[in-house]
Amino acid sequence: MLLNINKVIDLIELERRLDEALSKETPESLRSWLFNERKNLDFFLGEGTYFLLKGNPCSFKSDNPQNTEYQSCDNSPSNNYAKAA
Amino acid sequence: MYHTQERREKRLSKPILCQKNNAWLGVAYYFWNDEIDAIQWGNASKNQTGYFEIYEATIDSENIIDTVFNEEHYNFWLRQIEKAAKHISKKSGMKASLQEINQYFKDKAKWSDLTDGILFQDLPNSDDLLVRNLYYRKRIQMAVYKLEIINNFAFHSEMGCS
Repeated sequence: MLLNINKVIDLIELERRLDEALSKETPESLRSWLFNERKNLDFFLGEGTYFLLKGNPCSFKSDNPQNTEYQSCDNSPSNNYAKAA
Repeated sequence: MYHTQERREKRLSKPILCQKNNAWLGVAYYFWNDEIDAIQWGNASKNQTGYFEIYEATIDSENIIDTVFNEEHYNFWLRQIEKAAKHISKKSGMKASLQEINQYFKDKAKWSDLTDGILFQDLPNSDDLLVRNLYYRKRIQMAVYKLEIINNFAFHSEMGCS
């Protein structure tokens, strides 16, 4: 349950702070900051768990493809982004 | 609001700070507005032990940027996201993620001095919707930056993963 649904946040001050921060950035400072944010290898590897590879993880009956079952893939963008504690 | 975690031997007395790189609103304490989303999240992402726990809390949202119900906040936030994303991309040649832009707001633009968190929404990912292909319910999540605004944090329920 939420309490005290918003009074006034100083949006003008927030924007001023953002503009000031952005104006001070150089290509090097931004790259350095981004690399620092991404220093954990997880960023580059994406989500998931490591598994040992097993041989031939999938099979396909070429002589009887109509009986092949396909699993649908949930491509909801929410799944890619919503990672919470 | 609801906070989902893996089942632990000992109940939590406060929420756990999410510091994962893919936490979409940056480093924060994350809460769901609806219990059904907290349950869905437990099944989807807190399933290592086979059980998850849901905690309940009251959040003082006085200084929360409310992009869900407050039109002014939503328009403001959208504008800031797009401005920062364009600036970062143009200057660095790198595309920032939503998480990084939020982290930029918080750390580099020092928004955390003036705000306690952000309320955000996306599409529900649970099977409670009664109308097919119509996401009439918002999946609302709050990222809280300050522990002090989280009140009455208490155990709510424990469930086995399905």
